[in-house]
Amino acid sequence: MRRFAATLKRDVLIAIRSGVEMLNPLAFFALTGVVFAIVFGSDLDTRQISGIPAVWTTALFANMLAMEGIFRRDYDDGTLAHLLLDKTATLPAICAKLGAHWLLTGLPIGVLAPIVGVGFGLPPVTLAMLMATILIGTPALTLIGAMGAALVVGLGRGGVLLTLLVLPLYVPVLLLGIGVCHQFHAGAVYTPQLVGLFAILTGTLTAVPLALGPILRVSQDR
Amino acid sequence: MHVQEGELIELNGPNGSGKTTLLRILLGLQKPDRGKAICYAESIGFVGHRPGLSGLLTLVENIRWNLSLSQCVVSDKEIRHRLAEFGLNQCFTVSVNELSAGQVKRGALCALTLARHSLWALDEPMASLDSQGEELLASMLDVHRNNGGAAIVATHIPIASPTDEHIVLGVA
Repeated sequence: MRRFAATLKRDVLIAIRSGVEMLNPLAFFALTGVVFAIVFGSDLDTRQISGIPAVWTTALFANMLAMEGIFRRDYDDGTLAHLLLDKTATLPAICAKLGAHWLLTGLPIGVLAPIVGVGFGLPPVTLAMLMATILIGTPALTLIGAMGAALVVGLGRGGVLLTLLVLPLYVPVLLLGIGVCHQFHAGAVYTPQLVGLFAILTGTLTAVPLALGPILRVSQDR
Repeated sequence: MHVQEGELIELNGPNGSGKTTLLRILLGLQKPDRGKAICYAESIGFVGHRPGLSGLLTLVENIRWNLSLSQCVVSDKEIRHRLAEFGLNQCFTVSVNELSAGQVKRGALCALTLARHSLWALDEPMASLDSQGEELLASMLDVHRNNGGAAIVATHIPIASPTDEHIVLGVA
């Protein structure tokens, strides 16, 4: 627990000190959301129907924007090697890194989502559901993205490769998240999509932290 | 390869001979092309080419995190005292990015001494150090060995005494 808490605190501190770098995904999310709200025109139905996928897709890319950095800085300064050296420290430290990443990207994106969603004329209940699904979906996006980030960490600038690797895996989360909000907005049954979203979150939450240690060990061996 | 309590193994060889690679294989950070490497050390402290210190944190913050990884409880006062011993008393509140390469290396070595690992793995530990820093390194290695610790040092500058084990690598 001490390792987890120390690593979480450290990563949050590093993110705060990195300044603008931390704010980039959030600025991207807010600005792109506003642009979408403007270009979708004045027809309320069109804006409402397009608003949910627009906010979700923007949230996905904002999350991806912050993904490459999750292990990159530690790899560059050598702290990743320290983290991998002691096998008992690897899992709590990785879990803390994932937690810090979500706290600094997924959580603020989720909080910002209803504000961005207002621009699409979505009713408050739909905005609440949009926020809830993004808060459920972004941890899964962080976990999936972390696998890609771990695979490319030793490759220098692996941004494009990371996108190619994780984008197909992001799609089910995106579709289920949009599906829940659309069904809810239309007053239809949304439970199957919500269960699917939770299933992905549970699966990734269980498997990914355990897989990341071996993946990082292999990929930093370059 | 056996390294007993109080022993030091020096890996010598010219650039490109594989000193770093061998060290990383021994630590499990790199896979060998053939065969298998298993390290049975209780706890390992490592200082490599990259310092293992985050540039955006101060030395105290970095060392605090390093120590928490190895479950060592050391007070901030003790960390500052040790940093002062390493000639870093002006660097408590400065982020690592603002330090010189030599100061960063001293900081990494300071973190190593506080973590109380049984085996030290050092890769070119004298790189970036001035003559005073080299003396400091030699004395910290002596203290570590006298306390029952062991060390494997990859270097092209001799650091071990003639009685220590030397493994000389050549370029293929």
